[in-house]
Amino acid sequence: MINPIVKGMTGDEAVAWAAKQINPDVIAAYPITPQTIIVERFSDYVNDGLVDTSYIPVESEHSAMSACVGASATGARVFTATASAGLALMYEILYVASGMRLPIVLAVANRAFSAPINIHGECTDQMVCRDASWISLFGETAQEAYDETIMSFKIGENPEIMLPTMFGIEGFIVTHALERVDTLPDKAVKDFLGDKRVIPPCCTFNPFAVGTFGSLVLQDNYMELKRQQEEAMHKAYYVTKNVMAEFSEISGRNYEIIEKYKLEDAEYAFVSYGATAGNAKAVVDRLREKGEKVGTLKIRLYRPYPASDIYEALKGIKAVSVLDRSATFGSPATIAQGDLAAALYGKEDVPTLHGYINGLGGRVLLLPEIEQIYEQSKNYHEEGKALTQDWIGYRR
Amino acid sequence: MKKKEIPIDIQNWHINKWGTEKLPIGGAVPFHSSYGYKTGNWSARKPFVDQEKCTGCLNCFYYCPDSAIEMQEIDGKYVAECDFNYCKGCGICVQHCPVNAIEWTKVRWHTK
Amino acid sequence: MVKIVDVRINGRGGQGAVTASRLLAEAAILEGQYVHAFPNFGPERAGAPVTSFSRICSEPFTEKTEVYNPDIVVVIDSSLLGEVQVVEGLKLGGTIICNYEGKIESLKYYFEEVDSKIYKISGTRIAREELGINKPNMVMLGALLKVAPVVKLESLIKVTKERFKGVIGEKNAKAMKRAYNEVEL
Ligand code: SF4
Ligand code: SF4
Repeated sequence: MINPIVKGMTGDEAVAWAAKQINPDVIAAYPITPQTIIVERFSDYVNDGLVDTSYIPVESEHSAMSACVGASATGARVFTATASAGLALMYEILYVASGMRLPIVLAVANRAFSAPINIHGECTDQMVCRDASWISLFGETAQEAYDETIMSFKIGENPEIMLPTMFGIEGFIVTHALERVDTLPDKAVKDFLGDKRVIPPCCTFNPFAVGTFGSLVLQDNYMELKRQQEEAMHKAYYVTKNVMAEFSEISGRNYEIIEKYKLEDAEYAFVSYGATAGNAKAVVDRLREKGEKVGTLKIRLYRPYPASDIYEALKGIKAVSVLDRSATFGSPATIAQGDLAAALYGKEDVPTLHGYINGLGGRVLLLPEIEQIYEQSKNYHEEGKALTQDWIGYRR
Repeated sequence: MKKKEIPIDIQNWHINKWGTEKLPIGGAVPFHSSYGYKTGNWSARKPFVDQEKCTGCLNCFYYCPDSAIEMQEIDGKYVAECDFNYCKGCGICVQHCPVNAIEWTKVRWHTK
Repeated sequence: MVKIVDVRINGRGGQGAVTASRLLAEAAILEGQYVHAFPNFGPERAGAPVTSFSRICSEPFTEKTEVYNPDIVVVIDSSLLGEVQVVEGLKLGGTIICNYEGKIESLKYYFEEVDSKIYKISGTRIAREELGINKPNMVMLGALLKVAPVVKLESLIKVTKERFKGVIGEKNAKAMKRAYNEVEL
């Protein structure tokens, strides 16, 4: 373990600081609240000569991701950041990046979609990109934001994977909140990632290895190429595990693709991701003091979905409440609940699932509300209800 | 005109129908692979360069979207020549020739 | 369980409420404590009422909410007293520190039905005299540390001097020390 350098940083500052230590070759970004501070700080670093990065200011997120695609195709290490509407505007190019197998890293400051216009935290923006063949992580704290920035590069750039990675931190509650962050020395970050990206042959676009990228592929080969992405995603699960184990070793902080909190003897559990997990843990502590057998599971790696790990963790639990900070409408289950249900379907000894859409547009899911959810899931379990979906924390 | 051939392993790709494991990742294709893709019979008209008139200005060479124009050295002078194996017959080169050296001619395709 | 201290700072846009909550948190980090500090973002402009929060604990904690039930409320601008409910959510027996020029008795008049300790500091006067401008945010923190030692005054002075380099930092440090000594119950 390497001795940390303790700093007080907001989530955005932590990401910018990690990016500074990584010193990527190219950043192309467009500002959008609550992500702005990341690229703002980073442009300071560029201006002050602290990094060698080419900073490409662009006129929209669509262009930002397009510039990233071009840069990454040459073998450069590329980073960008966005949020909400910006991510939606990037959506088209997200598929280009993953289809061309370019390990771009994207920091998402999760923010609600318009309309009505809202700048606050909510994870819907990242959730709608879950099928874009991007590796997808969620961070709970500024510390995780810092660590995941570093780990994302290592995961995506693995020659076996070559997929872009995005990680999300929730707007304001993480991005703008000052927290204690244990940072690594520059050298440790360099050693962890290596100076340059490892470029597998036949995958670059430079004068010495000319090739055609993103060419027209029709019925003849398209499906094979998509299948390649699926297989890379599958491998990404193992690679992420390894990278997290490696990072845990140098940082001394224990990283796993899912985080189990007091689940060993639990009868009931919460499942969540991002900052909500922090509140869930606080409630678990409170309930445990009252003698309730409850735990919580945080999904850190959302794509590839760690189905088997989650099943192992939740096996034997009576009922699980999914705290889902993202909206879906007219759906049979909340987004995270749907994935969870698929992961558990047909297995033995699985809990009943209750999904709660909460915290939209920066609304805070209060701790007493989480306790209320716990009581409700107990009732549901006793009544024998298997799958329910509800909203919590709104006025009737 | 130089001979254009697909590298042998890419020929295999077309003929043997490589699968998920063998195809280059991300569909990144090495160069020269399109030599096997002959688009010369796509059109009813073809450009014929009058090499007497041609000044070798390279306009057609740069504007051809299919890189079907080749520059040839004939008697110490560079002149354009169209490779009918690949010319799709869009006519762009005809429009761009400043000295009207390219004739836009109807061709009749003979079926055997 | 280790006690988490929640501080809410009520001020007006431009008075430095956000800076104050940040520096308080940075001082806590300097001492090896754990924090979560952020302002309540919205359509704030100079002069509009704003709040910002610092949650401080000597042990790691996972709560990630705004502060709804503060232990301590710092009121940077006395004109807020009639305008917004500065005591909103304040815990029973909590602490209020108010920047107030008048007598402590007249200040208490605002909080007649509130069960809390009320402290007064002439923050604006100290800021005017020590800094030359009406920026009483750091002054208020100086007073806060006297009545509720969430961090050490030295740590706060250190981060303040880091943030405001040179003479402004020195002046702020002096003003904080003065406020530390002048706060009244
Ligand atoms: S007709 Fe079109 S494709 Fe053919 S040589 Fe001219 S520009 Fe090229
Ligand atoms: S544009 Fe005309 S003159 Fe110029 S190179 Fe082509 S054929 Fe020759």
